[in-house]
Formats: sequence, C-alpha cells, structure tokens
Amino acid sequence: MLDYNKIKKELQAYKIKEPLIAALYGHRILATQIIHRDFLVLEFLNIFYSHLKTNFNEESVKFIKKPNLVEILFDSDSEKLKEIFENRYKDKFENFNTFLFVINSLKKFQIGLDSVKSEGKFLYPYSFNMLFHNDSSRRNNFTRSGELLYLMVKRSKYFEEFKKLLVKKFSYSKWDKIISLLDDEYFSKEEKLGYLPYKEHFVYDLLVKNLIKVLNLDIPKRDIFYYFNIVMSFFMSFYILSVARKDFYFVVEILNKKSDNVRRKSRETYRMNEEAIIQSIDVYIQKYKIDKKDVKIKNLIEAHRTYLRGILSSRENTNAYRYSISDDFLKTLVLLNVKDKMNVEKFLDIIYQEYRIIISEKHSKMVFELSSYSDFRKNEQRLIKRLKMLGFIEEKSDGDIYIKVSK
Amino acid sequence: MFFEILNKYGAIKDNRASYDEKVLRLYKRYNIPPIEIKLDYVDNILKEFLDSDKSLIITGSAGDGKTFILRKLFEKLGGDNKEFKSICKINNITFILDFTAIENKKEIILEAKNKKYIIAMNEGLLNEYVNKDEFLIKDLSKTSSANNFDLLLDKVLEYIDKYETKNECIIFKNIELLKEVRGKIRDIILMNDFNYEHITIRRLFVFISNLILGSKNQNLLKSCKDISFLESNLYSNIFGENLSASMREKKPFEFLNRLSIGYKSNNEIDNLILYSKDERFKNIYFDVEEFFRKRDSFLDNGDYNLIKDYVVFLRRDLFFRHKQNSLMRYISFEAFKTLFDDLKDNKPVSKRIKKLIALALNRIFLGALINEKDNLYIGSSFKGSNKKIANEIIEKLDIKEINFEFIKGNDEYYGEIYLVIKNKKMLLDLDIFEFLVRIANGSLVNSFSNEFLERVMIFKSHLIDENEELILFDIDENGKIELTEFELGDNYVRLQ
Repeated sequence: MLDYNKIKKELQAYKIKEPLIAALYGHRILATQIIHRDFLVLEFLNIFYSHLKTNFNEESVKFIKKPNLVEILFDSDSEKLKEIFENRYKDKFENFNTFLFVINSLKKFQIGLDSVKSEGKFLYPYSFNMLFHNDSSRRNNFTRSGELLYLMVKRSKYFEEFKKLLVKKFSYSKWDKIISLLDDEYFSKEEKLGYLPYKEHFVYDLLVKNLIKVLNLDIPKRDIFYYFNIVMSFFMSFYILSVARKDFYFVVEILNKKSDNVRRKSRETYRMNEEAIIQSIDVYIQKYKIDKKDVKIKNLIEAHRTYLRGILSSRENTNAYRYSISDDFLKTLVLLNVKDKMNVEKFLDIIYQEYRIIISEKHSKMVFELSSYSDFRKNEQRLIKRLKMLGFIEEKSDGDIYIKVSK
Repeated sequence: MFFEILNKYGAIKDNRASYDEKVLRLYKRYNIPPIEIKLDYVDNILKEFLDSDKSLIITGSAGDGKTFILRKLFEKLGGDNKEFKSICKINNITFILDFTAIENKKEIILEAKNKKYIIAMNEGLLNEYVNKDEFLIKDLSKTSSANNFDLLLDKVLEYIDKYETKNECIIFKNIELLKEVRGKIRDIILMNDFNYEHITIRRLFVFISNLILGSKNQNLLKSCKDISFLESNLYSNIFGENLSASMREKKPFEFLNRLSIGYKSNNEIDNLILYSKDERFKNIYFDVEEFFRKRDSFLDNGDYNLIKDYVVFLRRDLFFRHKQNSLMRYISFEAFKTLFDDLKDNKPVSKRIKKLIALALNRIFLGALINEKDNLYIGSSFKGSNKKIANEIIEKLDIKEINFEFIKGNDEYYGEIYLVIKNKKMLLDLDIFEFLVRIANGSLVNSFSNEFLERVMIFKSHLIDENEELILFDIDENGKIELTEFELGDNYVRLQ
C-alpha cells in the first residue's frame, strides 16, 4: 500500500479537495465524451512538442499558443476576416479571395468541439507546426489526461527511440508554410504538469512499444493520428485496470446476434474490472477514514468506458456494458502485429499475451472454468469471419487459416 | 457397378484414410482400374526439378493429390510402383510422401538443401520449417479447379459409358442434361477460380458424384431407379439440395448457393414462366403439359406450393440451358474472363478496362460521383486516408499507369491477377472487379458489403505519398474535376 499521507503533501500544489484518486491513479484521468480521445492525443502532442522546444522536464510545461490562427479560423465571420486581411495579411496573399480560400481550406482540418465558441477547436495535426493549445484554464477539453499519457511515455524505457521516430514524422508538413504565414508561435507561462504516481510501470513500456509500431507502419503520415487515438485510448483504460488489479483481462465478444456464454462472461469481467477499480480505492477510504463523497470514483469508471468506446466496449443489443471489439481496433491489432502472414492461432496468442484479450477457447480455458467452451469456439469463428470481411484472411481448404497483410 | 463406386466418392465424411480405402476396395472388387486424371503440368514440374539444383516441395490442401503427384514423378523417373512407399528413393532422389509423419523434420530439411528430395507437406509445416527461397515449391492449390472439373468429368463419363448400361432412369437423365450444360457449370467453377478459392480434387469428386447421383430421399443413389424429378434432378443436385446443411456449407456448394440461381429472379423471367407457353419449357424430366395444368390451378387459387419446385427448376433451366444470363449475380464475368485471357496470352489490356477501373477508383478514392476516366486521381481527406470523402488531390496519374500483373499457376488455366499502380499491388479477384464495375456503372458504395470498400481503401492508403503539392478540387455539374493549386512563395500565397 502507498503511504497516502506522504503523497497527499506532494499533491497539495494541485489544490484538489480530496486527492486520493490522484495519489493512486494520477492527476488526472477524465474522459466523459468520445471527443476526449482526440483531445488526449492532441494534449499529448502539445506537451511533447513544447518540451521538444524547451526541455524534457517532467515538472512543468509552457503551452504553445497561436492566438491569431485561432482568431482567423474559429472566431471570425467574413467581414472580420476582410478587416484582418486588410490590416495584417495584405502583402502575403495575392488578394482577399485567395486569403479566404486558404482559410476555408484550413477549416477542413478542424477537429474538436462543434460549438459556436472558438475554444476546444483544433487542427488535425500533420506536423508540430499545426499544434496549439486552445483551452481555458478550467481544462474542460485538455483534461490533463494527455499530460499523464505524456509522463507514461516519457518514463518508458523506449522513450528515446519513440522520440526520434515522432520527431522524424512530425517535424514537417507541406502546410507549415501557410500556418507560419498566418501566425507565430507564442508560449504560455509555465504551468505545473500533471501527477503520475509510478516511476515505472509495465504499461508504460507496452504503450510505447505499440506507439513505435504505429510510427513504423507503412501508412500515410495523416493516418498516424487515427492509430494514435486508438492505441493511446486503449492503453489509458489498460493502465486504469492494471492499477486496479494485477490480473485483469478482457473477455471479448466478436459481435453476436444472440446472447451466449461469451457475452455472459464478457459482461461479468466488465463488471469485475469496474468493481476492482472501486475496490482499489475503497481500501484507502477505509484505512484513512476519508469521506466517500469527496472521492469521485465515477470519473474513473467513466474513463474506462469512454476510452474503450468504439474500440473494445459496447452495449449493442444489450443494456449492460461488455467487451466487444470494433473493426477499427481489430484492423489496428492486425496491422501492428502481423508483418506479412500469421497463423490465426498465433495472432490469438499475441493479443492474449500482450493485450490481455480473450477470444478463443484456448485462452478462456487458461483463465476460467466453464462447463462448455463451445461458445468461445464459435467466437473464434466469428473473428475469422470479421477478419475475412476486412480482407485479411487467406484460407486453405485443409483448415489452415492465415492472416495476411497486403503490401 | 461404377455408380456404386461413384456413390462412395460422394459419401465423404472427411476421414481421408477410410475414404480412399473404401473406394479402392470397390475398384478392386469390380476389377476396374481406379480413375486417374492426366495432369499435364506434372511433366513441367519434373522438368523444372531436373533443371534445378534445389529440392522440390509439393504443397497444397488435403485432398489435392499431393501423393498422387509424387507417385507420378516417381514413375516418370523410372521407379517401380511397388516400391513407392512413405520414404523411398530413385536415382538418388529421396521421396517423402508425408512430412507430417517424419520425426526429425529439421534434419531432413537441412539435408534437403544439399541432396535432392521430393517432399509432400501441408502449408502449415511449410511455413514452420522451410525457407522458401531455398526450395522449388509447387502449390497444388494454384491449379485451375475449372480445368480439373473438366478432366475429372471426362473420365467419369468415360467410365459410365464403359461400365454402365444406359437406360431411361433418372441417373441417365441427369447425365444427359449434365452433358448439355457442363460448360455453364464449368463457368461457375471458373468464377470460383477467379475469386482464388480453390476446390480440391477430392471435393470435385464429391461434386460430380452429387450431380449425377444426388437424391433428396436417399442422399446419393447407388443404382438406377425410377423416381420423380422432384426427388432427383441435376439442377437441385448442383446446389446440393439433397445434402445436409453442413455439407452445403462446404466447397463448392457454398459458393454455388451464394449465387442463388433459381431463387433470385426478375419480372421478365417470372412473367414468362407464369403466363407463357414457351417452347423452351420442354425438358427431359417432366411433361410440360402437367406443369401448365398445375400453373392454371395456381393462377385460380393462389397456392404457390403447387408450382414452386417447377418455377425454381424452370428458372434454372433458362439459365443453364438457354443462357438467360440476367439471372447471374456477376455482371462482370465475361469482362473478367477477357482480361484474364489477355493477360495470360501476354496481350495488352484494353483501354476500355483501364478506363473503367479509373472511373471506379476515382469515385471511391474521392468519395463523389465523378465522371473522369482518362486520368486517375489519388485523393484523400485531410483527416486520414480512410475517410470516405476526399478534400485534396494528392496525385493525378495518366491511365497508362494503371497496370496489371499476372502470376501463373501450375496449369495454363490458373493465374492470379494483380492491379498495379505505382508499384503497389492489389489482388484483383472477381468480387472486387464486380464491385468496381458496378461502381463505374453508377452504383453507390454504400450498397455493397463493407469489405470491398475496405480493401480498396487500404490499397489507396498505400498509394498516398505525402508530397509537396497543395491541390484542392471541386466537381462541376457534369462530374468533371476542377483543380485549384496553391503556389507558395517564401512570403506569399497565390492560387492557380
């Protein structure tokens, strides 16, 4: 058990009323909407880039600001744009129409919130140059979860390798010139970075190993964000669960029309995993006699769900949550783990060992007891069907089935 | 007596040893030499092997005749059939009939790098033990199933002529019709080949046996019987309607049933069947007047069950015998066949095909109903290559850059076609080709199963090189593309 009183002192700087969750899991994990997954990646990249320009100091960060760019893109109607053009950009664009065309083109990069406010709107990043911090001090969008993720990456033993690759991919894009024409880079004042309790953790290394795999994929640069989103979100949940309980796993249903043992087991593990999160905190609540009201366990439970939504968590056809794999995540797992050709069984072994995903009869048998495992066999068959739909299967008529990635 | 043997070929329970044994025992009892088909490519394999200093590995699926090929090679090298056994030697060449049964696998593979071996093994062991560059490898699944069907059917018909006496029974009716429509059945097997889904020789035996002997009450007939066409006819046998559901899931029935010939129809065909007295309805199985009587009473009282089987039969008969191709699921089969033949014969691919592919790819790559077929536009959304709607053009290519690669198989009827653009390849099977043709004809992407789009989008992602050009586009009312290019100076932006 951690010495909570000691950590509490360390956490005073963050002015949290009851920092128990921060002490155990970090400050802070918050994700309630699916958009928070994009923000997780953006916040991470922002901090990485800021540190790249300053130093890789875990204590603090100065955020990159691009106020002019934000104003032009998200805070101006055509009248205001005309004024801005006349005052500031007349010599850089051949005429107003060109300026307008460029702005409208850049708007197609917009990600983030769909609100009228300019806050929470960003550009889809092709390079570091397209990153900026556009969030109020309340941290509604950049919730600090990206800060935690950054610290995990920073503390992994593969950080240097990752850094090199990321810099290589993100230091330039063809849009940089235009962005630079529109705005300079400003730094915010120094702010304290979030708190991550563990100096080292196996999840950090696992996470970065997978991020490195993404950066080594033969894909267009513009697709990196998509895979980062999936991998980072998955490992945020993975981290939460591994802090809560050492031996957690995901029993994963390949979407089935009707309920069977796989679904029952999947719902059960979902519940077990969430109870483990509650348990891990309850122990401290009792020991240190903390008022339950002040501990917002709900945020953690919600984050576990949000980070897995569209990846590994589903309520399709039921009202209770369960683990069910999406095509996006399945495709990602194949691309990250299959070089050329791989036996389906081997693939199942890998996703069990590395990602703790149980789909097949073999691995369910290793982990729990059932009177019949035939539903898991069917689950495996459905997996093959799904992979086939995604164009990844090569089948030999004597029953040998391979996952194949075309080059 | 041959029907009894043919019956055994059909009654496969996938237990190989007992299956072969039972069939061979019957041949012996009736003193008939077992059916063997002549595979021309054995000579080619042998020549290639003798010209090379590598050992030979024959691989393929169970039931594809690996052992048979080894036996032929053994004989051709002068070996005596009696000495052909699990491990045997001729002229310093060691034969291993079943690598699975070998204990010291690694040592054998090591030795086979220096001494000449001919080894049969399945794909699993091949991947596990063998470095593919060091051996001559022949994969029997890269053999045309359509051609094997023809060879096998020739032999079976020859045996029937020789060992059975023709009479009026249902089996001979099935045979008579089979002879008439075999070309059409071959076409369907060819479609399966064009999807690179191999049917083993053993499955082809099952299929042919079922075509001739299939019966709804008896599964498979053993001898001539006088039964109604409702119980046994070639068309319902083609689709394995006499078989259990699990058998129908297997090749080739699974593919055949996906085509739903007889169940899918159109107004033209159905009006013909329900209201006309067309000459083409005459057939060997039933008296067409009997059908007309039943049809009249259906039209009076609306009981469709009275004529259901007849309608399905007649639709199929129109398709198989009278070439009513509107009942075929693939509209692109003939075009694919032409493409295949051109590539096989080293002829240039027609411009029409290239334009068609460019048109379809433009529509898919850009996510809009574009009418451009003289150039290929590689485009993408700013927010990832897998998004359906593109914002920018990354590259404009001439259709000359759409190319094909043809990889030959063992016989001249098998080959794999790749679409090649900018040195990146996509396996072009009939399903994907059909998808492209339909998109080019104006169908929307959303009306197809996601897998085709997914495969094309993965191909697209390989084609995207993040380059320096900034080109955006618009589409005018005729579906033509208008490009706008950014010109960037050090301190200014212009549009072109």
